[in-house]
Amino acid sequence: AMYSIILPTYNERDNLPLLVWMIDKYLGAANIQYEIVIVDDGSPDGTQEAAKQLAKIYSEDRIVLRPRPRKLGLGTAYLHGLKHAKGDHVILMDADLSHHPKFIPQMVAKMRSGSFDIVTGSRYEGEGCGVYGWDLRRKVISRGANFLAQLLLRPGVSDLTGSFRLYKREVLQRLVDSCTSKGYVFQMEMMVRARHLGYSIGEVPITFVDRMFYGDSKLGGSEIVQYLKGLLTLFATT
Amino acid sequence: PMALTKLMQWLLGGGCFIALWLALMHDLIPVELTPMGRHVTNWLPLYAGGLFGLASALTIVYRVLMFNDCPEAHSELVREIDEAKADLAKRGFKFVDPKGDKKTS
Repeated sequence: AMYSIILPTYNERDNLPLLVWMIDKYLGAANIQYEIVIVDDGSPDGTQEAAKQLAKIYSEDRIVLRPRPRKLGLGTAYLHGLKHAKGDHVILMDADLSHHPKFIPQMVAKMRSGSFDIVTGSRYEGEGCGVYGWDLRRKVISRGANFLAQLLLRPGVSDLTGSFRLYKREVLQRLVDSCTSKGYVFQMEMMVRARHLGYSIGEVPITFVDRMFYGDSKLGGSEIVQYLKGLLTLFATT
Repeated sequence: PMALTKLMQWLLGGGCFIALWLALMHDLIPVELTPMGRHVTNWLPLYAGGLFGLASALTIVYRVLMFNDCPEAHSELVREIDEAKADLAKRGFKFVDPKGDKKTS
């Protein structure tokens, strides 16, 4: 089995090498065959140069840089990455070190043992899950939003807006082709559609380190409105 | 057969609840009610809504209080970042100095 990690990046020149190092450390130790498909949206900070250096260090087979000219959105980044991915399994994760690669072997094991189509990381449920770096306001918003989503959608997944997931390749292809929302709602829509299409979803507790290096990890009013709009759309259409 | 959307399910459920309530209100259901029971029945939607709102708020408060902070995850990450930087530098990776955008080795 070959695992393609699709990494959409924008201005991740500092985090990318660290993430690649950690991926190599943990997947190497677990003997997991992998490649990292980097979909960079024309970062001005030198992210692509960093990726090229990493390809020299870790091999061009492992570090696959497939950039795009400018910011074109997450859904299309996944599609673009899928076009160039060679694996039969795909891992999606954030490039800013909030997701730790040490959970990937656990997701792989979970998928095998439960024969799941998808394994999602959960920040909210399971032994050892957690989030670092959220203040009270953020926690209240997160719990409130999750409560509402669970109530309205009954999705059978504890972390609906999470973006650290392992998919069978054809499952991801089908989902990305049929989902149309943006942002948080895109991640929710994928899980809801997955359930509707009859795919099985397993969960692995993960820790999420919100590093707030950009100074502003806050959730603004407009993002909350987008979330509610998306939630109600899913409520009314699925 | 097409499955009901969640909205349809809620409308259906809500419709049943209202039908039941209206039946009770118009004495269509043969059941003996104490004065207290009568009062509750008259205001059932309000009581049900209020109870639900209260339960929801308490659930959210509980979950916020029980939130798993994980400081060890952060410290582990900080340590690994240092390890990664050192190892990458050894392997020839040239980091960019954020302060002057000069390459440092």
